[in-house]
Amino acid sequence: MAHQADARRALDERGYTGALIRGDNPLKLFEKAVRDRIVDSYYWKEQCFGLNAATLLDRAVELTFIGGTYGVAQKPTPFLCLAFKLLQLTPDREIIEFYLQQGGEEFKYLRALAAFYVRLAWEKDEEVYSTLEPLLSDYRKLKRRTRESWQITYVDQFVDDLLTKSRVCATTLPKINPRLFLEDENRLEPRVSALGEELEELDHDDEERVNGQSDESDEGQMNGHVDGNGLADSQPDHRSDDSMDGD
Amino acid sequence: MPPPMPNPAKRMTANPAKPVARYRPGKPVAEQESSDEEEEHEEEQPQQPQRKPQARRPPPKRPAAPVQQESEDEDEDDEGFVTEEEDEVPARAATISQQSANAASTVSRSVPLKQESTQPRSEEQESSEEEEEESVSEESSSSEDEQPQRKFQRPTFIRKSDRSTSIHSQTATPDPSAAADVDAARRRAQAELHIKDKLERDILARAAGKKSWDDDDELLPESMVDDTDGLDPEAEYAAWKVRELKRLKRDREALIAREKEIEETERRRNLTAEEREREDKEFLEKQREERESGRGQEAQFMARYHHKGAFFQGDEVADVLKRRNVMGARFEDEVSDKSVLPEYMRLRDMTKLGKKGGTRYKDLKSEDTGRFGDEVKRWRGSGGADRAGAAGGGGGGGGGGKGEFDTRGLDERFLPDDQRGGGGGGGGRTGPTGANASGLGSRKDSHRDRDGYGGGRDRSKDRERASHDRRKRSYSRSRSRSRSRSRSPRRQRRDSPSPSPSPSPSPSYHDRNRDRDRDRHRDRNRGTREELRAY
Repeated sequence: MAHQADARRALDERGYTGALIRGDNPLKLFEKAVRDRIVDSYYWKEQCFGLNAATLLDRAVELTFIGGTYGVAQKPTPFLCLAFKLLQLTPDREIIEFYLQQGGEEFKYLRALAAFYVRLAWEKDEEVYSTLEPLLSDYRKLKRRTRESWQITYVDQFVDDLLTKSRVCATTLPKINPRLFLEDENRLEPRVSALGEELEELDHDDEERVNGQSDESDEGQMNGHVDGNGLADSQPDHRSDDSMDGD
Repeated sequence: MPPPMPNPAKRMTANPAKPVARYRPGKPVAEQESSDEEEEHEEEQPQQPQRKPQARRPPPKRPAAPVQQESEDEDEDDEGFVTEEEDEVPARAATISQQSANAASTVSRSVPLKQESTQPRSEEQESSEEEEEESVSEESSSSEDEQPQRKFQRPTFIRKSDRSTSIHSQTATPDPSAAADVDAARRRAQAELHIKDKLERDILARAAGKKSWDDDDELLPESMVDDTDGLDPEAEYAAWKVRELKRLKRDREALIAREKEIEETERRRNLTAEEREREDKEFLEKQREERESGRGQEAQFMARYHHKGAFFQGDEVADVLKRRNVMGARFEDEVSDKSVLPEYMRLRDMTKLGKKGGTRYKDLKSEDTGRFGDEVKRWRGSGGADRAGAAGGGGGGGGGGKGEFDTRGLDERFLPDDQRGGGGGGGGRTGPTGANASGLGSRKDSHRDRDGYGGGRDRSKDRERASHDRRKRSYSRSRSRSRSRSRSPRRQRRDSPSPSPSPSPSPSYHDRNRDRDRDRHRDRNRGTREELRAY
């Protein structure tokens, strides 16, 4: 299936014999409108024709921004087209992890693309959380194309949105259990932040003094019982979408 | 300015004014077409071989001479196909004649040509025409520059006899072709320059990385935002720290909120039922108060409240305007709260003040005529306090001893059973009501007995007799018609006096008769009646 040059086979659902994601055609993770825009776009037709995992890497390193659809005509970004291609290829776990870790070290947009794919395609919540949370310490800048303008975001911000929001980059993310829930069920450990040591220091400082450190002003009300480990993600339902998504 | 008077000489049509002249072969056509002027001028050249192409020139109905000026391709190698105008005069004449036969795609280009060519010419027009064509070609080539070279020149067919390659024509007419040669060379050089320029521009664009699918950069350049890292490591690290701490704080607060909720549910479980109710009531009161006090400016008493719709929320300008009510007054002494006005002036639309007609609908609560909810409050039986506070003040005091609804205004038909008959006097029988309340006539027992045994025949006879009697009776007793329309022969109407309207007739002759009648016939006619009833 990786070399199906004609995308019609994959989009036509009747004879689909390929990898299933959550029991369905992986391409169905994108909505019909978005799928149509992608397939009709020039980028898809020119650049995403007959890609495999290696050649997709070539395209991905040329990415310069992330985003969903933009403009009046809902034009898809190359990022979205490549994500669609990844869904079509459904590469192996190792490939994706390579994209995330080694490839991502050098190419941040590749990392963003792989993170997007992980959030969409992997079905076990624990794996999603445990794979994406190390990326929360990557603070490189990303260019993001919204519907009318450009924005600057960061890799950790993007990953956080993937984990908490319900709609990112013109796609409705499949539902995952909130982290609290998984922690209650002991399927996950509470999150260890990259600021682990510093947080403990801050906690100690807080117990001694009234005010926190100057640059961590929002830590002034920290409770004593919480240490760096007793933290968890909140429920995604409470989050309303801000301008993060490209819809 | 008034429109110009219609000219009777002009026809009312947008076509060219002069009618088309007939084409006669061999004769010049008297036309005003510029192309034809050109052709005519060329015809003046004393060249015999031109006769033929002229003769073969099609009737010049075409609006203009579509001279295709692509000086770039001066390719005459294609036999019979010429895509542009040639340099040499005879060839040019031939091509012009051929090209005039084309449906020109370059009408716009031909327009300047036409305008130029309508100027009077005094001499042999080769050079001047060449200049025209040059200028036109320059124009055309300049217009060509703006677009990518996508236009495909339509090839025109020249007959074999009219074809002349450059070599032949050059040898044939040396003199005019000399000048034409120079121009041709010049134009060719220009064309090559153009091509070179275009190619270089393409290479540059490709090198600059402009991708063909990405053509939005003119509106919103990607360079608006910069995503280079490492510009200021400390600042970036600090920003990341802030973000991370915010995330941690959010998580912590979510945890705390959850714990609080669990705690609250525990607490409520431990309260008793009344305490829960009390708390609920307080909460509802508080909610209602918030809602009503929050409706400050927009929905006051009898204010015209226009809600723009849920779609138009959240615009900053709109919010500001909404809050501003300084200029909202429609007339000088408008008040926003009409409860201070007398009732007559409480109108939604003050222009209708004093005018006749129109509904004076105020609001639902005042127009409501029912006493909905009053009964509910009474039925609760939750004590006298509630009743005293009930809205229906009149009914509150006069309610029956049992605390039921107010029965003073009710029609007797709607009275409850224990209050009928003038307040339940004396336990008298009320008897049949409504349609059954007509009085019964006295019985005629002999007649009844004869009718005792059933059978359809007897019954029918009986019915006839009864109807006959009834008719007779109706004349005499028209005024005293029985309230009941029953046609059953059971009713002894023949002898009955005018029935009394009282629903409870005193025991009388009638009753006795009736009772006896009923009893006697019940037994006798049981069989038949039950048969009939089986239907």
